Amino acid sequence: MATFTSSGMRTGAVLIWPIAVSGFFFAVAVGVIGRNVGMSWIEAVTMSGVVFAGASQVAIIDLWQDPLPLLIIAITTLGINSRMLLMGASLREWFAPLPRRLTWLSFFFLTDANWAVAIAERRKGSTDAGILLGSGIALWFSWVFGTGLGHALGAALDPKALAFDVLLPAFFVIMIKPIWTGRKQILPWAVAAAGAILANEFVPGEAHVVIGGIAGSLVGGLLRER
Amino acid sequence: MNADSIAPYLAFDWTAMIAILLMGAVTYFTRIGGFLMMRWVPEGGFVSRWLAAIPGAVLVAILAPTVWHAGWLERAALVAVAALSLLGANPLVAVAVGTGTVAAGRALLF
Repeated sequence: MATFTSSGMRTGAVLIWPIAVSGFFFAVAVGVIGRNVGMSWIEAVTMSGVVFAGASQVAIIDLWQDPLPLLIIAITTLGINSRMLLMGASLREWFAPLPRRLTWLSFFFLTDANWAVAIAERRKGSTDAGILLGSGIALWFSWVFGTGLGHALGAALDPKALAFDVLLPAFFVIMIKPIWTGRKQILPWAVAAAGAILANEFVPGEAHVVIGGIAGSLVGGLLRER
Repeated sequence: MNADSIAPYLAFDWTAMIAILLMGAVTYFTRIGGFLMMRWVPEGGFVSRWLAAIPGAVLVAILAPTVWHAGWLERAALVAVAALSLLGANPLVAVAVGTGTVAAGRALLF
């Protein structure tokens, strides 16, 4: 059973607003970091509007150098955002009966936060798929405006004194908790860490993320459920 | 305003735009791809386990070399961020405490 109404979109926007506020502040930080590696305001804002996936936007920051390693940037983005393949798959049953253009549109705005909100409403019995789009659009506005504000504010700040270099790894540390699902991940993560550190020492360029990510995830895939 | 003062705002580099559009295309693929393709991927099989393991492995691969090369002050701050996050603190608060610690440390110690 699936419906799609503007009242569902409003419900989504209302449900997501506390997360949108917190997303706004993250976007401010992403704007500051982007400026720090030499993105112009228009580049930082365009990236937030077009990509709209914070983890990957933070992940490519170290790669944002001259010349831009386009292939490595694309593969890193794919790796970080591949989690959304599983989210999209979980929404299949809900969106399949709806007009396909609503799916194409709604899924542009799919992120971790509004996926979680929409799935929670679905489990409570809601059929209105507009929840995903409404909450996604709310997140998109807070994300894009926050990035623009952060980049503009960055001009007045001293990056070294304010420890902006720590902002980036700190972001990744807080992303660990939601991704951690149990001890089964210790071995794949150890392989990913060792592979990345070794590649960083011995392989020229920025391939360590791709090398560590592929090595660790393959180990994770080979481990069977017990 | 001269060209230098507006450069950080409106500078428009074609390679950067290509990188952004590429990221956007790849990301949209990950959003819609699961909806379009995942019915062919058996649940619980190697491919689905591999896909599930990718984001964590990539995250660790980004973080590990940074931590490996970080100074003791930065490492201590990241441990504090991890601890706060695991104890259930608001993520933004955890990040602010971590960067605040390093900023204060640098002001006092160096």
